[in-house]
Amino acid sequence: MQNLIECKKCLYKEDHPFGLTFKNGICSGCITHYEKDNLNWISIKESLEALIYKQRKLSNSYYDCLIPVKGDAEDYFVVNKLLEMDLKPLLVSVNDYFFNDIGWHNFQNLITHFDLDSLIYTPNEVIYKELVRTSLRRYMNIMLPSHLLFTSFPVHVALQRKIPLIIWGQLQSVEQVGKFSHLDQVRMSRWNRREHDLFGLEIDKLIGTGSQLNENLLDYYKYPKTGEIQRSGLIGIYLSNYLRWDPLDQNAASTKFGFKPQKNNSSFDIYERAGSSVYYGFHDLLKLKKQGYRKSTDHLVREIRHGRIKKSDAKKIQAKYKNSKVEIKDFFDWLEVEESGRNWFIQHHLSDLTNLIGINNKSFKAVDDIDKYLHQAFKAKATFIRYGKEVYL
Amino acid sequence: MRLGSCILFYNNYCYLSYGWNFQRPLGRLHDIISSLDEYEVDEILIIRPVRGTNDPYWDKDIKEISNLNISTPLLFGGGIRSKRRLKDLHSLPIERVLFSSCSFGTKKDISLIEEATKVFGRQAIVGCLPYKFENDNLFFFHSRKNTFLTLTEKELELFDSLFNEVILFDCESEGFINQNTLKILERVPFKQDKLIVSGGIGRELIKKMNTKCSLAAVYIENSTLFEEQKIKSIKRYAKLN
Repeated sequence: MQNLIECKKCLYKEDHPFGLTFKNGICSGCITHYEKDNLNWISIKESLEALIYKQRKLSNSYYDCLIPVKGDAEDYFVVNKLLEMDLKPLLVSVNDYFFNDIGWHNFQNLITHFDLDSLIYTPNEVIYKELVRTSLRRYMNIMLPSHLLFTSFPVHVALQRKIPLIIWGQLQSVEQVGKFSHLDQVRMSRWNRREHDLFGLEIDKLIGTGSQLNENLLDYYKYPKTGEIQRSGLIGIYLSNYLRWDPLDQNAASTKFGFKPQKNNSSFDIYERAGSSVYYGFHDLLKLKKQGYRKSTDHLVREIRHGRIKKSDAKKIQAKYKNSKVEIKDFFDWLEVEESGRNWFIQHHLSDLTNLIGINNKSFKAVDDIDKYLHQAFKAKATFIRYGKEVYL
Repeated sequence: MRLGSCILFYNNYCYLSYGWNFQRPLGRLHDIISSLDEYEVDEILIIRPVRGTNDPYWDKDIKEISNLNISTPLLFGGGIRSKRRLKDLHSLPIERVLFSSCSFGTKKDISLIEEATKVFGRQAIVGCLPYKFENDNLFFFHSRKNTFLTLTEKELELFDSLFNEVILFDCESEGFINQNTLKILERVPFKQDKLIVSGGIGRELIKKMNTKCSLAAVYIENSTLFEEQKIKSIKRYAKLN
């Protein structure tokens, strides 16, 4: 393994999948984070208000904006902030079949607590599973079909309903690696989606050889044509470019609206992607396999930058979580892969990580400055629930 | 006036650059170029920021550029410092070639540009002058020496004679919207219709240049990809085309 440059301040190394640059040994993510301390957030928020006012004038819809949601803690923060700004949003989601009972609770509660209109798209399950299978086989990625849908379906809805503004929460590429300055105010675009959400992989990479799917059935997996978006005047913005973003603090506050955090063994963060059957399980293992680190590293980097943990303490916690085990049988059962198929996959793709596969009930304490943000968390009672409202099928 | 976009490309990766002293990661060349093609930018400059004499990634970068397949005219520069490297350009889908520090002086440098002119035609040879002001004194960046220095009027005249078009790149305004003061236009002896201005570009500035100047082109350095409608909305706003 070559010696990779590691940031003097955080835990990221130069091979970060989003890309990372360094100045005087400090990474672009940290430099961009510290930029937050010198920005005039009041005037930035005013620019957001002016933009919203401008887009509102274009609106031919009852709704002022569309908010893509998954029922995450971040969604609660975004929705609440926009309601405080007197907006009328339509919430749009995609059923990726990965919700557990906590995920469905958080999604339904988001809609009912704030009493908002919503749309959820449930894709054909057979097709969806075929895409997950292909994505796993070709790219060791089980989230790609979900990302494809979640980053395109809301755009289709906005165009169809003539809603001129989509408001997303965090722009991960700024918050994690500082790809852009907050002042650049980067917006939603086909390129941004392909580069950061899909790692260069569009739906066409999941069809063809070995995949039995017809492209005509996959419209909502494809981003609308650029010309159509340009003609409509639709824009998509990221709220994290306009407000001083602090996920742990924001997410912890979502519990007052009825959001349920979820216990997991792969990170101290009980808020981000709570309600997923795979995020801290098989997906996290694949992240380790491909990228060499787990989600807990992203969380620790974030908390180093927010000053809640020292780098030396973060390294110790990172080492502990690196060895935490994950259960993967549920995922393969959902994918209708039998034990022999699962074993084949482990033998051929995860042979160096077999020690991390299995049941694990260990969790680790972070540090006091983080722990005070961690409220009561719940254990999932059922995973991979097809659809959940009051009755789980 | 044409509206172009500059992309910094080095070691198979693209970067954003701010004030000539801080770079941010941007992304994969192929995805960036195909998006710019789709956004209908008039031309694209791919520039390799080779500063100093060490350039270990030339072959790797040339291979990547040779795989591009787009309809937008491409201009390429950065690290073309020998006739062997000039030969490598034959395999690239580019229409024009850019020279910077090679043009600052030695006979060997001038002979290289003359060779490029023979191969690609004079219309395809573009010069680049990265510059900055310090106390109203004008300095130009010499890539191979990795430093800013002054140029005499005679040297600028030579520069003018060698190139079909010249890019004036404001290093300190790079990455900061509408920061370019255009003061440079009063300080160089070139005709405006062969000039391309870049660095610190924004839509207000483009509108101003389109109405008050007669420039050949303007290149947006960082922000072309920051939003889906950037190019179209700028063209509308500045009444280009």
